[in-house]
Amino acid sequence: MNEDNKREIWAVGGGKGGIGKSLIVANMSIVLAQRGKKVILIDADLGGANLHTCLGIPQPKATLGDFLSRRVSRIEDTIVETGIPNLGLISGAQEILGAANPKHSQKVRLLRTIGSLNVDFILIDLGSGTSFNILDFFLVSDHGLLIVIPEPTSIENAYRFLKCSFLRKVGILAAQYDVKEVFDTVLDPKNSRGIRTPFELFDEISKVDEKVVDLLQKGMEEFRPKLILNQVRSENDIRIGFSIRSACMKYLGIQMDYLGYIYYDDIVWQSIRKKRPLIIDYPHSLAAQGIRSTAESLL
Amino acid sequence: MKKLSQLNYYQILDVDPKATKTEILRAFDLAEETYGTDSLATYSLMTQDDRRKILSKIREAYQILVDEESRKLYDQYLIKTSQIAPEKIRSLQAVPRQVPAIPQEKETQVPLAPADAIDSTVGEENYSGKALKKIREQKGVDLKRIAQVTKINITYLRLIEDDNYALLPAPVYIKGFLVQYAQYLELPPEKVRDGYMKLYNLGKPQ
Repeated sequence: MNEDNKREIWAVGGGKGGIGKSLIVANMSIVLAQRGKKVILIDADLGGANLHTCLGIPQPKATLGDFLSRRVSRIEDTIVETGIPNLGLISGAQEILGAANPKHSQKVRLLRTIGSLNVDFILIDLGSGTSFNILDFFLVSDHGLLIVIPEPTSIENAYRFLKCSFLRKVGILAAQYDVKEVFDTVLDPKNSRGIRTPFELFDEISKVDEKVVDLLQKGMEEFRPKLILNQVRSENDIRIGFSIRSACMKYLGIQMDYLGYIYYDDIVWQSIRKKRPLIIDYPHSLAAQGIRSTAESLL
Repeated sequence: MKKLSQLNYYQILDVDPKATKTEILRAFDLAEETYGTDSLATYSLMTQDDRRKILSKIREAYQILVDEESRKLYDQYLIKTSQIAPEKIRSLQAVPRQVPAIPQEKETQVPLAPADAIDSTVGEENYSGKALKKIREQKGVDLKRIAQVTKINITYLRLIEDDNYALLPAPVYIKGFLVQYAQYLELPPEKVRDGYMKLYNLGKPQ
């Protein structure tokens, strides 16, 4: 456990594939492990797990799929050594097509079990997209990290991811507070109200029941995703992070922290080719420095 | 979760209330970049119209905060209305009497409540701030809407309605604000201006 005797879960998402999520989360986990923290890295990209490659180890035999399908009863039995002290890996499902989309009961069991792991940090690599499975891991974490690269498609997908996460979270809260009916009325697909932003969602809910809005808005205060800008090439690129944060606050009403940025670095592809962790083989590279300072800013 | 209209100027510009002028200039540059036509950060999120509206609020905030005198006035307003604690703001000095005029822009007016809905107890010649506020409320007009349409800073409109002569800017500006305020409420602009200024001259601080 860490100093506060609290297990922390960091989930890394981003909506779009190929933007460096796996590389960043793998190297962040090494940063933590090198500081003496006990860390478990979970590859929840159930359809395209490849964290083992980022860490330079062969494909593990036991995976999350085995746990989901109950071929192994304890999740601890799917943890594999990474060769890096303090760091264990739970690999994503490889062979079971169905495991990419676990049932609700499987997901609940998985979330509960992850929370009981006896470590300081649990880092989860989410796949791309905005499925409920991905969103739920993101929302259940202590820190939801959003990776974005300064390109139109990535930024567009990041906003989509944020909006979907927000909506999912409001839906979960509405169910908890027993006001799901109001929520469902507003989002009734047969009676589209053209809602574009969380502000508009709450405006519509307030038309149905004003008290519910206060309740939900209060609950949503804990939704505070953290932005990491990857592959920046210039100061202008770095400023895009501040712009995204501003737009989230003013247009979506979402408070987002701009955690840090990681420079584009040719060394990265060399480390990927070599199937070796960047932070170990090239600790002084620009990209490694960015990953390290971003991870440390959360400690 | 606050809407843009609920944020104060510091929050709109994303700066600390103790920000230096350079920080305000930088924040404004970033905001222009963020909500400009070619912005990579916002093009996929909002429409051109959405961006224009946000930018207009940002420019309004910038105009007030970049000018030392109007910023001091605004800071006092924030403290007076308990929107911010005095220690969170830069140290205040004497209240200046001159502030720059705020650019005006014509916009389509929203329909008002019918004239016969107005309370006849409000004297025709009584154009004190309190009386004007009563008329406005009876007409069902939100002060924010007047500020939005006339582009007059809502702080000044509130000071007018509060009859807060000490914090109001120079008479030349007050007169201009009163005329626009009255036009929006479909009141006789000259009468409102002269009636209010008569009371102002009697009660203004020496």
